[in-house]
Amino acid sequence: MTIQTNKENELTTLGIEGRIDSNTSNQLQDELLQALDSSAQILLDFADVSYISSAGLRVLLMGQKKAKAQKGKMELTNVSETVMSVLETVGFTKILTFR
Amino acid sequence: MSEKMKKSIRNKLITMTFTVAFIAITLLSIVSWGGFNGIKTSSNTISKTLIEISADNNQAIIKQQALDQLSSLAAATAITVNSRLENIMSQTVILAACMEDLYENPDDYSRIDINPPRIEDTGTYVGQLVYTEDTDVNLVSDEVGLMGNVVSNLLQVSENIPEVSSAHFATESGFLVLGDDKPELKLDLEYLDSSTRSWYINAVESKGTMWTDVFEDSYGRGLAVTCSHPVYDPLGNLKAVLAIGCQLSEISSVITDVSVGETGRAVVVDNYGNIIMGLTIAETESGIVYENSNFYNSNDPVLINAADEMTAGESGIVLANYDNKDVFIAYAPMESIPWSVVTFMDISEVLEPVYLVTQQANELARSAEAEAEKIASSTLVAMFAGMAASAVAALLVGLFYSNRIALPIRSLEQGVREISKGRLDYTLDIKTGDEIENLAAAFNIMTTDLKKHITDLTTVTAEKEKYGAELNVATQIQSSMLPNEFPAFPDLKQFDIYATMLPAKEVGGDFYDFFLVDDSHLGLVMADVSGKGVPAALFMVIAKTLIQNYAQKGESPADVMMHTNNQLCQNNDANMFVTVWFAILNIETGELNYSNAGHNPPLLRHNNGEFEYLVSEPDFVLAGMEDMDYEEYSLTLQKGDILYLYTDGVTEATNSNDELYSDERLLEKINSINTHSLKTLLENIKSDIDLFVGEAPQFDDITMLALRFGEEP
Repeated sequence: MTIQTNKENELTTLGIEGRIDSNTSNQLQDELLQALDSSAQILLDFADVSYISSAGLRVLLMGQKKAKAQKGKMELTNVSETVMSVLETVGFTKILTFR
Repeated sequence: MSEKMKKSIRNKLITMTFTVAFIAITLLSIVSWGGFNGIKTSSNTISKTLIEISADNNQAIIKQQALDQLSSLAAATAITVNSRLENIMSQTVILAACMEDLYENPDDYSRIDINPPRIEDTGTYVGQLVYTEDTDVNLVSDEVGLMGNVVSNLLQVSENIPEVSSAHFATESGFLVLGDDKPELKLDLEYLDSSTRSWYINAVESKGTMWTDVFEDSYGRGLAVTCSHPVYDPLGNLKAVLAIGCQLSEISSVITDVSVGETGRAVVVDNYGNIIMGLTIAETESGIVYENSNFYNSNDPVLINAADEMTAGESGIVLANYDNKDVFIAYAPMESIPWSVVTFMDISEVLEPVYLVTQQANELARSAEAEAEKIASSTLVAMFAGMAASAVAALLVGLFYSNRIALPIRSLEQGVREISKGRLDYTLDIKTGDEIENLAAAFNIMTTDLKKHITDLTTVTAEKEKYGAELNVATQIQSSMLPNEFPAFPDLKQFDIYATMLPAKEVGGDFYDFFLVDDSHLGLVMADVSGKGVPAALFMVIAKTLIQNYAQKGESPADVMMHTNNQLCQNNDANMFVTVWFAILNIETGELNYSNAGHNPPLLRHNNGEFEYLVSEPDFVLAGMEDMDYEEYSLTLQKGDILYLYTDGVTEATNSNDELYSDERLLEKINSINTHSLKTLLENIKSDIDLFVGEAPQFDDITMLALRFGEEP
């Protein structure tokens, strides 16, 4: 998995590519929390995410909680059907914001 | 192999040292030899050149000396011969003066008789009187008597001067007086007219001292020449001519005594180019001037030109061909007579010392060259000896150094072998002071580090083993916490249940549960904790306990979910969450109430139909956020209906191509299995998953639960 971080004013975009599983979730966790430290608005580009495991979901949950706690915003975009079905399955569509 | 390597390095070093040394020596030798040859050649050339130059110089000097000597000799001989002739001339003048005195003062002298040539006077120096044919004896008797006074003077000259053959005078009045010691030769001489003789005519015409040409002596005594002088009375009338005859053979000794080396000789040449003294006279007593003895008879223009110069009274030196020999000819004129002294020397003799010098020089050069050759060959021998010695030395040095290098490498190798056998306390003791010592030191450090690492590793391994053992205990605890004895409820015939969990790691995050809430209600749990390992397992325990607790309080599935969620959200710093499908089944009626907190939809085979996904809109996972509401759904199972619960470890099992097992494949598979045994059902699904995954590692826990409502048919 690779992550491209692009910061524009208050918006930080994380372009994620690959599988988000127990092996790679720590990387996403570090990058996402770091981005949240410096930015109120986070956009996660899931265009090239092929799979997300429960470990990855946990990172999204952490991000969402942190963004909410600091009154910021975390959004997901370009989420594939496969990943979306996972997110739906686990009820994350109820708490996450999609662009 | 190491033996080979050792030998190889050693041999390489020896070969390298030897080769380098040999090449260096050979190159040095070639260069030295080349240089030496160059020096030799140039020294030869220089010595030759020096010798040639000095020889040339010597030749020139020697030649010049010889020629100078030849010229000087000619000049000196000319002076000597000339002085003898001048003596004759002075005697001639003196005697003429005596006669003039007699003619001037006839009265002062008595009259002395002169006899004719007489036999009895043979061998005696005596005055002899001979008349001219028509002379009147009586008329001249007084004059004869007067002239008798000079006879003693004549005799004195002819007696005392060796070359003088006769001193005589002839008078105008018609008589001749001879003063010599050969009267016997003139016994038959009755008359003699001297006035026609050249000596008489010359003197009369020149009125001074004159030499005749060279002529043959009347008495066969060889070549002769006469010096004459006229005698006048006080009135200037010619009275007589006085003459002294010279035999050249007598002066010739002056010439023949002259010798220069072996071929050098001197001759006197008259004003006609005739050789009149010297060679011919000395060699032929006859005194005949033979053909070649006139220079003008020569074919060599040089010689003829030289003869012209001689007659012109000049001196010089030429190289000419004379008597079929190449000779140097030097000539010098005489002062008192138009003759020249000529000295000869064969060119070979002139040049002989030159040849000698050249020869000596060449010999010197040859010996120098030979010496150089000798030195060269001894140098070559020394050079080869040096090369051989150097080669041997290089071999020995190579051997020495290769041993010095190879032997430590060998002990290094032995040491490394010892170390590889596990003798980590083995210390390499190599003191070569070079890289090998550094290498040995590095090996020692490596050994020490290795020992430390092995010790550390042993400790770590021991700890890991301990940890692993503890994990195993945890796994056992976890699995013992899940109901895993089947049949689970042997006394109850209303339903059948079977479940398995295969953790990806030792302790998994998945769990299933089933428990009786009361006599008629069965709680069914299928859950998946985010993450794995001990934290997930601990979280699982809490979740499992909470769900069971709230369920047994009699709460509906939605309430159980809500309460459990809120409880789990407390102190969830790790942000873990758990997906849960929870149902309560009325085992009597088949009524099934269930809630889904973010879990995969179960599969249900209803009314003997096909398995279908029990789709409901899932609610949010537990422990994710507080105060979440959960929907509750309800349906009624028919006898024989089979409910299949699973975690995403099934549908998301991944093969090596990153393909997921997928909901579709699961659905297809489960419908293809025709069995009444729940255990067989689960085992078949598991086998299919294994077949799909292949060699890829198991990522996630695989947990399945199957429930059939009603008895086994």
